[in-house]
Amino acid sequence: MSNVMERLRAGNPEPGCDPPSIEIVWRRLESEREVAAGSASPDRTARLGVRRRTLGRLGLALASAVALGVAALAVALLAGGHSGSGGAPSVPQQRTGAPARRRAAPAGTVAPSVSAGAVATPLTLRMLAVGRYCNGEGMQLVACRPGQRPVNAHPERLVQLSLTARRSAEPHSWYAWDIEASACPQAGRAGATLEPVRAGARLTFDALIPAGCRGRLSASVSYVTQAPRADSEHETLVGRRTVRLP
Amino acid sequence: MTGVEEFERRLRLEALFHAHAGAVRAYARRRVGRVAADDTVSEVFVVAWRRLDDVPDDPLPWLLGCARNVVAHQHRRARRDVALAGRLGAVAVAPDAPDGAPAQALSQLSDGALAQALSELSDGDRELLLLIAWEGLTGAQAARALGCSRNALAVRLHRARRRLAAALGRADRKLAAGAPDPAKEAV
Repeated sequence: MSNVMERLRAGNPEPGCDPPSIEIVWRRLESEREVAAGSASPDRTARLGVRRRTLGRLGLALASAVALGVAALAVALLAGGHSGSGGAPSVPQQRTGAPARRRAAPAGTVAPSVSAGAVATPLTLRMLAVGRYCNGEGMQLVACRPGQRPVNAHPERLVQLSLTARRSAEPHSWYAWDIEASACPQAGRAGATLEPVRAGARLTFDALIPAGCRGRLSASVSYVTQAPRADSEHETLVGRRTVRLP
Repeated sequence: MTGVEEFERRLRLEALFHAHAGAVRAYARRRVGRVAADDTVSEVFVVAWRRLDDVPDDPLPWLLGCARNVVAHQHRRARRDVALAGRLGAVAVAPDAPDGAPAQALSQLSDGALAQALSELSDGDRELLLLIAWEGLTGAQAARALGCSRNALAVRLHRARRRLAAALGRADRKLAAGAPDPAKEAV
């Protein structure tokens, strides 16, 4: 196996490299300082204020929970004491049957992240014939009718990725999909759902792969929720599937 | 921070940069290409500037671990942009550099069978092997860069080597049988 490592070392495409000028670091630091100075604005102060208020509320909630816990323990101990000597059977704890509290999105601006178990579902990857395809209803690609203009200039293989959505997607959450062929990186396709999706709906995504493309074709779908910061998202893997192109 | 402290920190960062920026740049070039590599290098050393007190005595594994995170973050951002563009445009979008790190590194290889074999490995196996073979890290350094114990790394390395040998054997046989060179096909 040492031969394998030797071959790997010999294949190094960048065996040596001169360092760039350190100016790139100082310039970057300088520009970040300028941005930070520019963003010390009322907007930032407001965000800090919101954060402080949120922390205050959290602290209050925690203190209340501790106080309630202590009170409940005290009541239980007292009840145990009243029930007589230690041999008495304890009363089984009753469950309220109330549903677990759901993490709500604050004021409709963000959606909470979800666990992989809540969205994971098997993906189906269908490989259809090589040919010309046209736009059908709902952005699906279908065989062209006579006189209809195909979307692809050359015959290509239609790949259909489908899954059953386990969770609904609302304005602040969506399903993102990605199909890529290992041998033809330029053929990769990605996209996301545009309309709200209800739980249980069947989702289908199309991708056209060049007819001569061989090798592995991998597809993945994620459930994305908008995070509190506008430029970030929570991404949870729904499923992944890899097949070999015929 | 006083002026003297700032000056001393600058000197420390400059020493760190001159000693290791070449290695970080080579790492970045193999993963994000020549154009974006310097951007990655500057981001890594900005992180080092902010966390100068956390930089260990043997800084290369730490810097490469940092570069790995920076590259991963760049790819996540690129994928999000692609997903968002697809969402806004209601059409499928072809990313410029799909899953950039492996694609970038493998597209530069002249050994087609090796490129094919590496592409068959998992991201973890490939990263570990490349850290040792291309970045020249020792086992202990690679363990620090990947954030795992030396024992765990030894086991992972053994398995990764075995998988690479098997994949390489398959790719060599395929090429010998006259199948088209996967590296050329990819281009």
